[in-house]
Amino acid sequence: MYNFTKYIEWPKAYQTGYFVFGIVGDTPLYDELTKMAQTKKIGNQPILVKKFSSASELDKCHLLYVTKGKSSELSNVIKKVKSGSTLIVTEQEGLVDKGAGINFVVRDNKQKFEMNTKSIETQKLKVSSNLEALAITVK
Amino acid sequence: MKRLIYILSLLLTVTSTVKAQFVQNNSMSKAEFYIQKAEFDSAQKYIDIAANHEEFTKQAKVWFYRSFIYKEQYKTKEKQDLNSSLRSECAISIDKLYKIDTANTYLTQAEPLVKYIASTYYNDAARAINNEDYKLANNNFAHYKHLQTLIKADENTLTNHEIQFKFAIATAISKGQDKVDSTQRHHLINIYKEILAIDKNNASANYNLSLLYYNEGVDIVNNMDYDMEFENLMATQEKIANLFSAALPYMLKAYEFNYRKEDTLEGLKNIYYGLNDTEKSNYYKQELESLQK
Repeated sequence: MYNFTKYIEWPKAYQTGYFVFGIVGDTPLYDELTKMAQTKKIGNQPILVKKFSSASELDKCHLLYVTKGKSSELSNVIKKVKSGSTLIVTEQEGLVDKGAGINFVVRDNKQKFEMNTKSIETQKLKVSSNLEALAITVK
Repeated sequence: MKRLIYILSLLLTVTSTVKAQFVQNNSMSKAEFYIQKAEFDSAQKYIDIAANHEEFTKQAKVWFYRSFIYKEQYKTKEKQDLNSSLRSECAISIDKLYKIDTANTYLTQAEPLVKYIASTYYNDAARAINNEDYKLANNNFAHYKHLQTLIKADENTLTNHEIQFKFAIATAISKGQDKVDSTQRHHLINIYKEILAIDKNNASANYNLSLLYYNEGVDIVNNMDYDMEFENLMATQEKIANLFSAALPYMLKAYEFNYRKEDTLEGLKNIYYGLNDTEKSNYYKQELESLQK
């Protein structure tokens, strides 16, 4: 997730203040990201990690991770963040076709990711072609 | 004049041949004589002369005597030497005896001697482990195994001894610690594989081998840097997945034999989690939880 931020450019308005990692649902990733936030920055922006239990609680995020258990909330999440510039990351087969910008999938016991550049660009984000090259599928 | 030279040279040839035969025959007799007097330095000297002569080299008696003499010399002079050359000579003689004595003239008499030398090699293999000289330990054990094979020792016992010996080396290398460096890990992997080559169902070797692969994967995960470039991240992930995949069959085998049930369940839960197989990870997690209730 941290690596994705190196290949995506957020609009100017998102390049000051905290870089917000949002998480919808429960995942051990929250603790990891919180730990990472203590030592890392995204560009010059310090990291803030926020946890949401549902789409209705969402506020401004740079990157929003929707856990597998909350996959059914994706459409509500998209509605909630559509006016902003949020990279939506999911981990459920098929969600790359349903509005997620990046979707984690398991192939041969390894984590891979699919990308939907159209969804990403709709959020006014610029994606590097290098990231596209690393994705297993690009839509 | 020519005739005189011819006679003289003929005489010289005959004399030297007769003398050589006398020396060899005499060497054998002298060796026997000194054995009876328990003067083994002299016995060694004469048996070596006899053993190097082509007339005797194919006689089982020479090699039987030679193994006896060198055994006595070893006992007197090099008993504390884990790498005794006198014992090596004894083992060489035993080996020759067993190859030559097809009529079984001396083998029954030699058996206690072979057993004795084999036991010293076994004990010294263990002592070499304590000294952390694993090369010598392996060498001594190989001698022990070879000698036991010559006397047709019970195969199951020998196999068990070999497995015990390899586990002893593994324990010494790891010093009983779970955390090992890459050199130790490499040695241990080889040892457990050797054990599994002897007994593929050895639960402990399966479990320990799995743990080595798994821990190596975990070490990589724990030392990963968030700043790692994506390409490296992918390559590292590949490496970790390969290690977890390598760990899996051995842990499953240990589980099959109910070996350290809680630990194997914990291991399977974690390995499957590392392989991104949440369903199977949860299956073993639940089994572990019900076992712990």
